[in-house]
Amino acid sequence: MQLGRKLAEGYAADPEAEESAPPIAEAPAEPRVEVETTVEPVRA
Amino acid sequence: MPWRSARRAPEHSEQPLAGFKLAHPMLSADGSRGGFSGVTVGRGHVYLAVDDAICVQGSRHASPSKWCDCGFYCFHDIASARDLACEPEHRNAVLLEVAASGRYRRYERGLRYSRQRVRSVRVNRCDCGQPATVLVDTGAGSTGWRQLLPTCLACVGARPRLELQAFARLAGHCVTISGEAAPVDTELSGAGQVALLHAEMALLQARLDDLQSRLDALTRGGDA
Repeated sequence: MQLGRKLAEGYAADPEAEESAPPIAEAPAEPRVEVETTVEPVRA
Repeated sequence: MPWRSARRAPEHSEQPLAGFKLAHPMLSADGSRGGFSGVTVGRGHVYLAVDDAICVQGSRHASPSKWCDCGFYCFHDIASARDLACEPEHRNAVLLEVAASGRYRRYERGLRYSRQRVRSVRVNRCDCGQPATVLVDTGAGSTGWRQLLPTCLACVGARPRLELQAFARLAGHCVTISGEAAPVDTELSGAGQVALLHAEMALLQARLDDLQSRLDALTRGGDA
């Protein structure tokens, strides 16, 4: 679908759509990655 | 002289924006829901009467994105959608009137946007030219969804059918659906109808003449 040149960006409200919109699935949480590190003793 | 940005401030509307687009009517595999599939970028994705856009390219960014062609699309005016419907691959599509909302990008001929509410569905005529009154399975579809085709009662044959109003109920959200009226009722009036009636009378007269001549031949044969 060719719409031509972009003219603007914006936001439009639609109370009817917001009342009846399907629930938005929550994005799965990113798994926590724990990295073990060996800390070298600091020598004075 | 201070530097001034050419970037415009975002627009804001308290009302959804009206638009028109083509789509294929879809029926869920269990027959409990009606939906739609796109005809261009989103042809493999089925959306409901009220739905949020997702990236059909498989990315997890918010849709529509500046860097992607995803999102719902519509034209500003109905004529552009009807022009697109002239292309052979779109002849069986239906015309949707939609309310576009959420984040949008406005173009010369239409919108790309994040939330859509289908207001009405307009169904084309059957391939035979008569008004379509039912929807039948095309044999095409995607996982969990069958693509439907507007058809008239004469052409439906023994195939399972779904009434237009039944589809509207399954789509939900007060979607209305209508088909085109019969060609004779809408396009012919006055002189056009007189010419049509003259042509039908001429055909009937020719048929009567043919029957009369065959009857005469049979009668002469019986006399001999």
